[in-house]
Order: sequence, then C-alpha cells, then structure tokens
Amino acid sequence: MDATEVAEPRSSELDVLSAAREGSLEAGRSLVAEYGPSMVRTAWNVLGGYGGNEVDDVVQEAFIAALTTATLPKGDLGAWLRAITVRKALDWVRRVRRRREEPLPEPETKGELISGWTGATQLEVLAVRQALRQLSPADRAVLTLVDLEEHSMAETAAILGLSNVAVRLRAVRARRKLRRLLRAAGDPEGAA
Amino acid sequence: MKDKTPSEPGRSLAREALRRAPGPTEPDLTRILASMPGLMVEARRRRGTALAPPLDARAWGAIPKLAAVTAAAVVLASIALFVDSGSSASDDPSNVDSLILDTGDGSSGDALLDALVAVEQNGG
Repeated sequence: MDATEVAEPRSSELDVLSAAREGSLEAGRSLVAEYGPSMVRTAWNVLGGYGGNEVDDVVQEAFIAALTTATLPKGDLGAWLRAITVRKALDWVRRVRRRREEPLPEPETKGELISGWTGATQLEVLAVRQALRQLSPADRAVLTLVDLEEHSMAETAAILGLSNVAVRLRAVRARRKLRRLLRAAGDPEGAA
Repeated sequence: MKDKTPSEPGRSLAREALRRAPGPTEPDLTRILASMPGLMVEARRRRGTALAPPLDARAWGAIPKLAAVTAAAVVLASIALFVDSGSSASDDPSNVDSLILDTGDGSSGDALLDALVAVEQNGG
C-alpha cells in the first residue's frame, strides 16, 4: 500500500470494534486474535524487549483505551490500535522512570533465541535487537510509527503529542544512530 | 523537507531492523485473551466516569436558582420587617428601654406602668 493512501477501515472492522465497546466478549476476543500479535510486537519494539508482563500490560492498556474512546479510527484499524499501543508503551516507560527515579534496567536478553532459526540468523537478529535497545524508547517509538507503520510526520506528531519538527529531528537522529550501531555490530544492513 | 529521499535509505534501514527484530514471532496472547472481560469492564467504568458530569458542575448549575430563591427570601423578609415597623409602639423593645430610662413626660400608654415608673423615679 502506498504510504500516501489511507485505507478506510472496513465496515466489518468497525462493527467488531463497536460491538466490543458495547460489551460483546466475542467481539473483544476477536479484536485480540486479529490485532493482538501486531500490537504485542509494536509494544515490544518500543519497550525494547522487556519481560512479557510489561508488554502484555501495555497491550491491555491499549485495548482499554480503544474500547473507552468514543472516536472511530479514520484509517486502518490495525494501524490505529498500534498507534495507541505506541503511546501506552511510552506512558509505561515514563511511569516506571518516575517511580524508579533511576535509569531503566537493561531488558533481559535470555530466552530470545528462536528455535528453528539458523545460528547466523539468530546472531543477526540479536545484533539488530541490541542496536535497537541502545536507542531511547522515544526514538524507537518514532521509528516504529514513521518507518515501520509509515505514518506521516504530522500523524506521528499528533500521536506522540510532539511538533512536526521534533518528530523529524528525532527520526533523523535515531536513524543515524541506528546505522552507526549496526555498522559497529558488523551488520551488513548498517554498512549500506 | 519531505519524508522520503534523501533519507530514504535511513528509513529502509530502520524499517528492516524493526521487522527483523520483532518480539516473539508468535506472541502468546493467552493472558490478554483471558483478561478481556476485565478490560471491557474497566473500559465501561472509564466511559461512565467520563460521561457523568462532576458534582461540582451540577451544583454550579444550581447556583443561579439558589441565588434567585435567596434574593426572593431577602425581599420578603424586608417587606415583613417594613410592615412590622408600623405596628404598636409598645412592641418595640427600644420603647421598653426608654420606658425604663424615661424620666420625662413620656408615657407608655399604660397607667399602671406609668405609676410604677413614677414610684421608682421618686425613690419610693
């Protein structure tokens, strides 16, 4: 899909969302089944891969927000839910920082090896993850929304409550830093 | 500055990195699915809180009516006082005071009382 095109949510998607808001458990579970995986991955991207509970908590908060608000998504429902997930993930990071009053601990890295993947692929994935983790959650949020979800700068600014200029600057700096980190890790993508 | 070139390679790099380093390839949704009833209850609670006007707002709306009622009560009380002020002089406490203190020709209108006052005044 061209990034300039905005897909209208299918009426069936909106029906499911509306039904869930009205209390249909089946509709709620359908939303989780359909959009939960991508929301979990989005939360994981922004949080930088913390333990499973934090990711689940963020996704649960995102579903509550989606069911609470009266507004309907104008574009793709999945993109709308993932945008909410990004915001909730950043909220989680801020809350934890305020409570801890110290830098966030490094996310756990054990147990990430994915069975069935070759050793080289696993190492590659780990290198990329390590590089992403060295970005701030806000940088990861901007890259997730702009580069992965293909929101415009203006949309990203609205989602994150930042100015267009701030989003643009953050995106440029984050990409530059990511390239440098990947290059240092010997990742072929970083050398491009 | 446009979103695309010259930073397009940078965008692709970030996009590929984020795609290659996801969380679990098949996220476990068990916990989220199990929590859905609770999530829906919480959403309903928050919607209800958002829709109900705060008590302050309801009370605030009643203030003009209360003010009108108070004003009417004040007016009626003033009228009542005004009407009362034309009643018998003997009801006015200040007349009793002057009666006690009066050493002149003032008369209360009550002969017996005048007599008693006269006795007092004469020291008898």
